[in-house]
Amino acid sequence: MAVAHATDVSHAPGGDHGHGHGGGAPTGSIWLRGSWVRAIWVSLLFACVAIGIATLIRAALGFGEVYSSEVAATFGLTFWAIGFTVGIGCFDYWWGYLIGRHDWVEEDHSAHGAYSWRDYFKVNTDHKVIGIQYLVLTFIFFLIGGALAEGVRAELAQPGTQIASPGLYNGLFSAHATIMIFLFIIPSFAGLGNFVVPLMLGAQDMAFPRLNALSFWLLMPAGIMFIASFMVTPFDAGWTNYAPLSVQGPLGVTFFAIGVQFAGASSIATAVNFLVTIVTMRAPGMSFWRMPLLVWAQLATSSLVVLGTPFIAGSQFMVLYDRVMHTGFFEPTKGGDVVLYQHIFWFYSHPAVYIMMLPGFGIISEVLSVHSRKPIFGYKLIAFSTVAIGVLGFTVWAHHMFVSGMSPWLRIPMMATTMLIAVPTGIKIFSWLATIWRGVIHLTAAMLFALGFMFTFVIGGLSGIFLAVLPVDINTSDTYFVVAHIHYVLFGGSVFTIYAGLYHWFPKMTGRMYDERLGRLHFWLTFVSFNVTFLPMHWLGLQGMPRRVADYEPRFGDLNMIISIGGFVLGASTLVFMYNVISSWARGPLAPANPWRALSLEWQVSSPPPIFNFDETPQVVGGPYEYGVPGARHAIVTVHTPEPEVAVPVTATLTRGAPERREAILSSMKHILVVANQTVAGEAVIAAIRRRAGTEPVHVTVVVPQGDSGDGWVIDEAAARAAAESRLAQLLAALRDAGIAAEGEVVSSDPYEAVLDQVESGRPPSEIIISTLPRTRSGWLRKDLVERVRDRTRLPVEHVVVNVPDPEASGR
Amino acid sequence: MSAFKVGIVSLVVGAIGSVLIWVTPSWFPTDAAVQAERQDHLYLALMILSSFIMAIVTVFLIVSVWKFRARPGDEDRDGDPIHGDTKLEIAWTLIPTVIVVAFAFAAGIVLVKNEERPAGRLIVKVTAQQFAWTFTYPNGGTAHELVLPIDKPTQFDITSRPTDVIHSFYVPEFRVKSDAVPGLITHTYATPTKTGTFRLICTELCGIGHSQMRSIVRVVSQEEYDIYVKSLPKEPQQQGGA
Repeated sequence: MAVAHATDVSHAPGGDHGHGHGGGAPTGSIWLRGSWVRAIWVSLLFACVAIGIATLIRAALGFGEVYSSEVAATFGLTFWAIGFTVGIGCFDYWWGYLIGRHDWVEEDHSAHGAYSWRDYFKVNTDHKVIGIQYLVLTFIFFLIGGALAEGVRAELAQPGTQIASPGLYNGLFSAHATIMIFLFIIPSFAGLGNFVVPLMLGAQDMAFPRLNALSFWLLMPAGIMFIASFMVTPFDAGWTNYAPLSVQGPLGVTFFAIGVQFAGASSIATAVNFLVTIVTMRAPGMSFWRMPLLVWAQLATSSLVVLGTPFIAGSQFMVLYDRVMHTGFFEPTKGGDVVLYQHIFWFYSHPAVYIMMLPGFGIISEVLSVHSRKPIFGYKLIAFSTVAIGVLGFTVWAHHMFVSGMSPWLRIPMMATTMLIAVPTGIKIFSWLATIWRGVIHLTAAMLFALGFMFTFVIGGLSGIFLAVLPVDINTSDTYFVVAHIHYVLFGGSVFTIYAGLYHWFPKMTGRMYDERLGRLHFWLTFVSFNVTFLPMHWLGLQGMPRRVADYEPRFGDLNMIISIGGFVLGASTLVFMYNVISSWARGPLAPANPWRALSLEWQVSSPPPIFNFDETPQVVGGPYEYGVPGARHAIVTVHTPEPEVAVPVTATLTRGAPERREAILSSMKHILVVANQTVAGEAVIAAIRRRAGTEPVHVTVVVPQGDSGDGWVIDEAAARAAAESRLAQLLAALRDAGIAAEGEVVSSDPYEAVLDQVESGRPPSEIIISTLPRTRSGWLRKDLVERVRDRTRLPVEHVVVNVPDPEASGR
Repeated sequence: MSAFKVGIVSLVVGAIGSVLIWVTPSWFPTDAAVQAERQDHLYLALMILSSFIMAIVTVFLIVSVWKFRARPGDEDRDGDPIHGDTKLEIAWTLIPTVIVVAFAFAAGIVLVKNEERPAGRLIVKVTAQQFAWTFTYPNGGTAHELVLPIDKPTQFDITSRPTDVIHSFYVPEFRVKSDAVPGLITHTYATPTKTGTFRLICTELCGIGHSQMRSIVRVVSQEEYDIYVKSLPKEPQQQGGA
């Protein structure tokens, strides 16, 4: 009796057990479900409608010029970006709730976790996926911003015009800084923090995973807008976008002003997520004084973001209004105040530099402690100084305005606060030096960047003290002295810490070890070329070379040529890093859970971590940096899934993992899991099992999944199950005859779920055989079952193909 | 190898660096105003401070990596479990505070001295526009080059045209700078101490002509200045808003 029912398209075919494992094949048309295709047409639709409505209103109100490119850009870009986030799927869950969709599931994990590489290109709610999405996207923007810098240096290599007219040159350095600040440094700390912080806290994810995903996807349209400005006339008033130059500027300025809103929104949403997660989701026993310093840093940074970012949004909104609505915020002939712009802008943009630095300080604390095997020296004072820098950071903004013509009396208190902020920064430097003193220093790539950071950041900090001293600042403002300072603290500071963090957590994030020799080469190339590029700029500035100039005095030509050559080598050094990352990610040696023998929680789970991080909530019992203290423990972590066997690590000194655990796995009996349905009694299956068993004792578990029968048409469930039981019995009999201990059962779940149930059970397998019909007939293969199982379990998986004759007309 | 001894070594290195800095020819262009001389002294003091700080950081970094690097066999060894040292932490909080406060005071004194407004000072109006400078002397004469009498305290009243953008008035040899802002008159002060020809450079991004927006500053004797200014045309010049 044929009883057919279609597969319910609203469930991911991975099965929907209320919380459901994700990673199933997508359902519904690609034009209508959350996807890149939908993102493109929805964003364009939103943009066209917005531009259309604005233009119609202008026509109805009797404007002479009905179409205005400024108005079109303002509304078009804004709604295009919103449409992009809608189309890619960020709002689907909330929209489903609002409209009361019949199949809406409250605990919907269908978009959670990376089961295949495709999940990285979709809306995903797993903080680990979002973290990696952030890091890859921001690194791409790093390369774009770096290419713009190479353009700047190519133009400046000699006096006169080389490759860029003054107008284009102004656009090059403006976009360079904007992309580096808003699309690289700030969000890459968000990404690294996203991956690491919930793990460090013992949490299963961030407090608001969907908001987290939205934060990431907001960044993409912002970046596209900044780059797209080059297709109209690029914005050319610097990343600082001072009025009145910006108000009088070309169409690209509008692209900048709106891009900043979306980058800012992304940043604020992430910060809210971090604040709530850190305050409310720490594992039991983790008091504030037992938090890793990276968490302290993210706490302070997120507070700065939430309090400060609205100010830059506001300043750009006012510029936009002056441009599009012809208001006069910054227009003296309309009663406006030019310097007001700078106050509003710098009230955010000074805390912004601490937003770009504090997470890096947190990373350095982690790296120095772990790679020199010593507790952090003066943990509490470092935590205090982190908060102090955050608070004081709001009191120094006008040191960017010492020569601006602002109220002269304000300069003295601003100098005082700026000088004072050197004290907590100095405390950190001295504490870090004391941390590595008497340690056991392992010069890994992460450690090299951390040590290099100490050197270059102190130079940057010292030039900062020079700039705090008013008479010196009056002389050096807007000269190359400032360019030297900012690059020493932003590259020699922030970027070095980003590299340190990427190397340190690379094994955890990718499950692979990077090549240590390439890492060392990368460090030395970067360190040397960086100093060749930026050290001479101090002298140039003192000699009177202004910044943001396409041309300069001929006597500066030789030094600028040397700087440009340094800059090109610096750019090339990035390629070494990229090669290392890509080749190691693809085929580097597998990484153990804890290659650095670190104590913090992220290292107590596998590399990469399980989808929901911890099998049970960890119990924190001590501080995170108790190296050298016999018997010290940070936390008690219970793991249900044992570590799979790992390949021999790259360097014996660093990646010993847990040797006792490895021996336990090796000495226990081999346990083979066999997954098959139609083909379970096939000869090839038995042959594969016998080959794998070899001469040693093995145990075999056979599961025969009945769920997800490929194209969704179940002919007769009871008869199918009976047939499956009979095939299973055949196989078990054959194995018994061959002297192999085996047991099995027919299960109603789909094959992927069935594998996970076995792997997460009390007796997990050490290897898996999946047997399927040929590719043309196998529904399992259509859904990439074998790859997904390999990626997820990291166990050896053998795929056997059996060509069982088709019993029914519409078989699988 | 005690940290104290290494600290002493680093202070010695810092002292050597300071001596080297002292004897090295100045990184600055010629100092052609009293403001420049004061700034240069302050800068030198800051360089000496930097020498000591860089020495401490670099010496401790190098010695640490040299002495405490992991050798073969150290794979499972941990370092000494030192969590802190309260006396040391108090020291490196208080001493830097004292130092920065001292520098802030010195800077404040230099600033006040540099911006003194003695009676009888010369006042020159500076008007910036995209991409040129215009100077208006007390007798109403205007020119596009700045000519000043030596040893005369001078005040510059600087502005930009009302519908123009922000520029910045910078003379490296005087070490003085102030933005030229539409709708505002800003002030800076210089007392030239050397005759000669110096540079006036715009140091605020003002558009495509920014790198070309320069002028000349000539410091001459009082007599030469008087003759020059008398000879200037007196075009009625808009000074911009109050």
